[in-house]
Amino acid sequence: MKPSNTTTHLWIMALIILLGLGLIVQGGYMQAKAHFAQFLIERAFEQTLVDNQPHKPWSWADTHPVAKMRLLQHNAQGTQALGPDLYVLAGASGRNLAFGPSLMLAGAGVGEQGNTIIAGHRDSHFMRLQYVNVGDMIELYSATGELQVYQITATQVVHETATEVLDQTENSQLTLITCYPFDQLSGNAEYRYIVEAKPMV
Amino acid sequence: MYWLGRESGLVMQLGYYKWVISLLLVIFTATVQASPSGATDDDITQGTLVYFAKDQVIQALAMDTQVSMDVSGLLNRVTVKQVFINDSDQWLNGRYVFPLPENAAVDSMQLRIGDKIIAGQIQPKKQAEQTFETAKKQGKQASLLQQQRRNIFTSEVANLGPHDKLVVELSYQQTVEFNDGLFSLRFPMAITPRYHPEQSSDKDKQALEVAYIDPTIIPNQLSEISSAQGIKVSMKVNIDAGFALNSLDSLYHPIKQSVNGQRYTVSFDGKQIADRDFVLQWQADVGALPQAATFYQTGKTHSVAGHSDDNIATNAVDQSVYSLVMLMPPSVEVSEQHLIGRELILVIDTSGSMSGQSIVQAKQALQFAIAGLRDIDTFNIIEFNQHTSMLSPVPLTATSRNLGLANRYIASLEANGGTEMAPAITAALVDTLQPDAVNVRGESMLRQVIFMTDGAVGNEQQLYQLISDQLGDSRLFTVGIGSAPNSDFMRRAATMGRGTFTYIGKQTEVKQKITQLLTKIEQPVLTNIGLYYLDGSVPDYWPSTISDLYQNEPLWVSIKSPSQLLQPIIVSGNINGQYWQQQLDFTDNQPARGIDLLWANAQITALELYKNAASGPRVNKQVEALGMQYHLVTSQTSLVAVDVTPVNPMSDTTIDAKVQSHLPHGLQVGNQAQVLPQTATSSRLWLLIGFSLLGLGILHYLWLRQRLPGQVLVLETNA
Repeated sequence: MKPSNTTTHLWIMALIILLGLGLIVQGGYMQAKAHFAQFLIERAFEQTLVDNQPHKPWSWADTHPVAKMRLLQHNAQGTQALGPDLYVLAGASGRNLAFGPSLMLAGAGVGEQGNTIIAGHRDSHFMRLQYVNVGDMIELYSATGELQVYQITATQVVHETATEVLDQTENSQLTLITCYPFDQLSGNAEYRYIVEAKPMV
Repeated sequence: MYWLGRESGLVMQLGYYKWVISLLLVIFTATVQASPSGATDDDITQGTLVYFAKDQVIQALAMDTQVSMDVSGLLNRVTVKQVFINDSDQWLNGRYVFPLPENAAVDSMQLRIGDKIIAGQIQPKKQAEQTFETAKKQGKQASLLQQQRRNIFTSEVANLGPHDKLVVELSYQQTVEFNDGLFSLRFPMAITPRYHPEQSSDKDKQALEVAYIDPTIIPNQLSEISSAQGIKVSMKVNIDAGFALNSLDSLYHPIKQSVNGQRYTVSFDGKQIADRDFVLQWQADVGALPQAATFYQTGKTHSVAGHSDDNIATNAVDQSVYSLVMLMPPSVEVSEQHLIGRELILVIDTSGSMSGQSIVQAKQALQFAIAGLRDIDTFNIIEFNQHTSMLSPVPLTATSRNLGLANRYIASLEANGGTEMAPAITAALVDTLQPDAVNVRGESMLRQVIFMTDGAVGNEQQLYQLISDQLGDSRLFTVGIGSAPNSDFMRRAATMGRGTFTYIGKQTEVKQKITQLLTKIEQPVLTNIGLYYLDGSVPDYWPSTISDLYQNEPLWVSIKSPSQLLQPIIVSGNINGQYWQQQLDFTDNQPARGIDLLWANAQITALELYKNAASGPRVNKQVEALGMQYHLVTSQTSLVAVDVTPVNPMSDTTIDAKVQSHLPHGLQVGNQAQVLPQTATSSRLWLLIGFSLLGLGILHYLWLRQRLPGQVLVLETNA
């Protein structure tokens, strides 16, 4: 009786550990992808700054970096960058979002007049958006190396159907989109956190 | 031993049970805590107006709309009277967002205060806004008419007194639709609360905020509600078609009609709720169909206003002749033998950005397109991501064997990789037609390229160049797939490819839209259309690129000629590959009013179609100049009317009120097609569950090895 019992236990144990490892690999892969792809994207962006040509971060990529973004926060110690620099990809498809924050092509381009819209994942790149406040600054470097500084004017939570945040505006504006709430674990979010920023002159 | 086994089994089971429960609890609480605190009721949807917002009652204005139309031949002059009614005891500023037909040239607005009529002046948009705001602050009554998008306008009134009304009367000019021998006109009466991302409409976000009557607050039986709420429309249409009518119907509204000779009058049976478009259709008696019609007007409808004192040069009267030409190409009999075969090249984007719903839709569209092929047709499928591959090196005939092959090919497509569109366009536009590719009657085949993509490309200018260089005799039809395709790129690519752009937003639309497109382009009647004078010079006509005409489609073109002398104009094109031309002598030219407005409007439409980030400021200037010159409400110009005397002593405290639009009939609130991008993954959930399971496994291992605290004791006592 006992040997077979022990074997069963071993089997169950092995199964549970394997399943656990599998899930860890899957979740970890997503996180690792989000983290390490940024280095490749950074390299492509540096190349773009040098020769003004779009460069793919990896040879089979469907996109290219279009901007570098930095969040700046005021506090007692002065102005500090919030997290490492982010490199923005062209086209907010699900695939691109896994590697970096992405520029929505329906909006204005980086540095163009109109509403520039960047979406990012709440569980990786745009996790830091939960710490931003109205008045904080966003630095956006275009692919030609030009810097535009934006100041956050509003944050709001909207339903996922509130597509009016994608509307084009006459004056320049930067709109950041990520899922809300930030601490929700599952992937299907119904609400979005919107950060609106206006250029500083 | 046996006992131990049983006991331990029980303990183990209990242990697991606890563990699983606590694990579940962790996940559950995490999810629950995560649910948004501020937005608990999920009923709030886009465009719904809540009555109490920020502790302040939002006033809803009542609105009465009176529409009168004068149809003369193919022209329609429409006057819309909007009566803003204030039922409250306060002074109000009113605002109403309303739709007008896409081809409407809005050229006049009047503000009526009692018996007084103040004519609206055309001003650049910003200046008009300032004029209006100043009047509002000074307590003067004023009205402002603005274009928000191509077909959406707002009218605003300032300082509307308690229990008073103000009337804004606007007029527009349009042409009547004429297709398949059927005349029709449409007056839109509801705005669908759905957003189409269009780069050409860079408008203020606030301006388009349509307030809808919330169906959860007001029950659907609007007719039972007092006349103070809701938008009522009365309609009167006079039709002087120039011939006897065979039928005259309104599609969605009950109407009364009367006839007096060849003049028909149609009116609403009472007032109607503005929740669906008004569509009127009529048909001529057999044989009375016009083959060509020309209308002309000398000089402008509105002389240049506002500059009479500071600019003497503009006083010179415009002597140009504006004409409008409607031409029916000779109809081609469609018999079995006359059917022209076509070579259908289907191009599908299988790049990574298409993954998910988009590729599913695109594959379905391909299958429907293939299913619609006839046995005289040939076809090929081109797939591209960073590589381009084809179903077959040469186009295949539409035999059942080849169709089966194609269907298997379609099923195997997967979205992956980059987007290199240029080689695919080159491959699609390469003329694969054999010189002997003719049908039984020796007519050459058509070559049509259907391009399905989400248009996520960076090198647009280069692609436009490629298309215009390599088009040849092919026609390029673009089909936009997915929730947010780059429609600006696709619309312009289609215009350059002399085809059309179709947008498929939902999977349920795929079949209908693809079938519609394929049926429409089955039989082009007239291609390569051009206009010129007898001496070979080209008149100033719009639209400047005329797309192919298909069966029973008339050609509309607006022309501006420099002087009184109307030269004959030659319209040329190809019918079934043979040269065709027709001379327009303007002998049967009918004088009409408002032709200059249509000409200017056609030019503005063409200008805005080609607008992009680089040409934007220049196009805006051109549109503004045209708007000012022809007294038109455009994206850059607005009409504003201000009364002289201030009437409101407390203009600072005047409340802003909106007129609420009705939701289109049959539309479900909250059932929107488009959503913001999904910006979350379950990675953290997987990690949490993964680590929990791993911990569980390790604990189990330790338990088996009897290394858990407390276990050792049990072992010892047993031994």
